[in-house]
Amino acid sequence: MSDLQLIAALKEGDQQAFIMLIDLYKHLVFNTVLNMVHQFEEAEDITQEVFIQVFQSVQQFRGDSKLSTWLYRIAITKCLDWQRKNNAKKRMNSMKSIFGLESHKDSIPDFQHPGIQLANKEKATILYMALKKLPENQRIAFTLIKADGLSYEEVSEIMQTSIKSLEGLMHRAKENLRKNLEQFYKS
Amino acid sequence: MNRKIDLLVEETIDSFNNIKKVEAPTGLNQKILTDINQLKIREEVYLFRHPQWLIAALVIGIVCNVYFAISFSYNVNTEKNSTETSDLAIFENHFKLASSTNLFE
Repeated sequence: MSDLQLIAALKEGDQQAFIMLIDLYKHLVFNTVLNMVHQFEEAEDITQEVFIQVFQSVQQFRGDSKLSTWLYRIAITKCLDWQRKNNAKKRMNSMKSIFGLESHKDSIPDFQHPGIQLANKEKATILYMALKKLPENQRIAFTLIKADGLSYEEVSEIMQTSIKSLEGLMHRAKENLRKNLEQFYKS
Repeated sequence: MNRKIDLLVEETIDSFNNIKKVEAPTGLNQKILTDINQLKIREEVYLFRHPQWLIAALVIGIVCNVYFAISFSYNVNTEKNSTETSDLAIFENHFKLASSTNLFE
């Protein structure tokens, strides 16, 4: 079944088409979300939310882009929403710790991606920590290109930006990562 | 020293190369389908599917209530006024009758 046929069946409310969509894209969505949020349980929940969003808004999907591109966009939006909520929660906790209401713990990156080679695990954990300090769009570009292995063309379509500006984003992301990592290794 | 750090930084950035894809957790399909079935049940209720009608019904209800309240208070006032007018008319009639029959003389 082609993407167009699948979308048409989804718009008609075909349950089998939806099961097929989940089977086809659950790994893609889960991996993207996992690379963004670095937590298994949260990644599972967000993947669930992504497919529910697809179910709710499939009627509005015009088919201008590929189905996978649309799914990537929804997944990233959900991840950013989660990240913002999480940051707000962290700010709240640090406020509480200032007033002595709760002990504030710095988030120690204990996430280890099972897909990363054993030799790289330690460095990847440090990289995850450095990635958290990047601005949103730099982090998205770097994660999609480096961790998800997407091409510049695909990422530019997902982020709705030109390849040239994406190259600029990647350049700045690497520069910022270098600065953060240098600071980390020097300290 | 700086060269060593540079090398470490580059190695760290490259640690993301060749990440293998992870399998999505088993049971994810079922969880998604359960959520969607619950959504479908909600959507089967017409007013949940078209919330604009729910809002319209509420607005119409409020408007009708206000209208009835105003018209009820208006009716009460009009009735009160008309009662007062008829009392006055009866009094005037009595007065005319009395004066025509020279009752006060």
